[in-house]
Amino acid sequence: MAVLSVILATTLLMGLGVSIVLLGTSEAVLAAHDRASRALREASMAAVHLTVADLRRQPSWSAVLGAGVGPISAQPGRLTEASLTLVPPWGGPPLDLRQSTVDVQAAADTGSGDPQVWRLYECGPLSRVVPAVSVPPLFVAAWVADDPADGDGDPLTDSNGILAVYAEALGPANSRAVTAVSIRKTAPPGEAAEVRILTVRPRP
Amino acid sequence: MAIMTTTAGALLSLVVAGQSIARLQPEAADLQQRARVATHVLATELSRAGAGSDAGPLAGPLSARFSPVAASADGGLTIWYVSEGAAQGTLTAALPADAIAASIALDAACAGGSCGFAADTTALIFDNSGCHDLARIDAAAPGGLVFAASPARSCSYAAGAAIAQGEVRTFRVDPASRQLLRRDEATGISVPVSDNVAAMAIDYPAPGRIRVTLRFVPALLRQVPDLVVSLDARPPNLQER
Repeated sequence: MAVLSVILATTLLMGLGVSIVLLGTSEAVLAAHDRASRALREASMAAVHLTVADLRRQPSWSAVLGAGVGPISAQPGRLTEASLTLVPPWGGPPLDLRQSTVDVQAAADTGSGDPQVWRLYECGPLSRVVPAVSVPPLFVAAWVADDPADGDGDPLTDSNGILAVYAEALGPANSRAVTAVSIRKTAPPGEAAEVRILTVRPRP
Repeated sequence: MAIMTTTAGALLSLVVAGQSIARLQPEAADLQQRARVATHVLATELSRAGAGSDAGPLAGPLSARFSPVAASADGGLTIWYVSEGAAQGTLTAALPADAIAASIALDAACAGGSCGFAADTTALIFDNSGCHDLARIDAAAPGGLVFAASPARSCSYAAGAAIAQGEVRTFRVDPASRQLLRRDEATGISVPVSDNVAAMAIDYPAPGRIRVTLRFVPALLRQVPDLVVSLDARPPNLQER
């Protein structure tokens, strides 16, 4: 009788214990997903700021819109490597930046205004952007294109000092965050050119 | 007998404690997840707040013309932004405050039928003087828009004022239903974002920063403590660059 009681009580306790462990685990998984989502969002903003910093140093934005190797800009940013197939920092299959560029091109085509040709401007692991800091194993990439409202009909020439930037942060399990930005360069006579971010639009 | 009684007592106390944890833990986890969802929605909307026109004479963040994040009359938070990829243009003729038809020119040429302004969307109208209004579009044509009848706008606009498709949304807590609601200011339609929200407080700790504090209360079990979450946001379109 005593043995039976102990077995029953032990089984009951085990069931309760397992259910509590499962609840705790799912809570930890949800929290981890939330943390990863926020990290991706911040990483995509980091890609925006890196792109803007590098574009500030470019004397001509039309040169940036020119074709380099494949989809890479003729004057790429500091993070860009020559290879278009990169091993992601979290492992897994390689990232095909040629296909990513095709996807960005398709996503940005609204049929409104001048045609756009998206050039890969920055791409690489986030750890290379901030090497001295421990960061999540994420990959960032940014594309630039002429803005569709400049009215010159030429996607390879910037005639109004405005560019569109599409920045993406990629993480494990196909997670990603995208931020779209418009930037404008103004050069008052006799003064250094000034680059300002016009609008920032994180995508859901 | 004594050993068995002691053991049974200990086991019983463990079972009671385990049952209590098994009842409270899901409620606490539910509260946490509601807080994550609510702060995610608010953070996403705040990150878009103030996004303005991408081109044209009034290009740039809305914060250069007016405050795109403001307290609403009912204690909520109202957010204005121009949507991504949306139609943007300028008024080509004056728009009196009570007019329901506007003449417009698009910033980017629109050849196809899938671009430009569309009916049943919201237009933001603003100028350099700080005037800003919203209007619901009833009908759209390449050179003009017809707005839904509504109370007169706050301003009359001269030709050259900006007009763009966008959103104006207010987040507020309904104390009766204990819900965090998102109201579309153009249609007046409210949708719940999260249940079990008892209160929302908004403050501005520094220029360009907004802190939204939400208090979540448990749905069923009073033993679970309330959860207070603060979202300290720096909307990118409100920053000086």
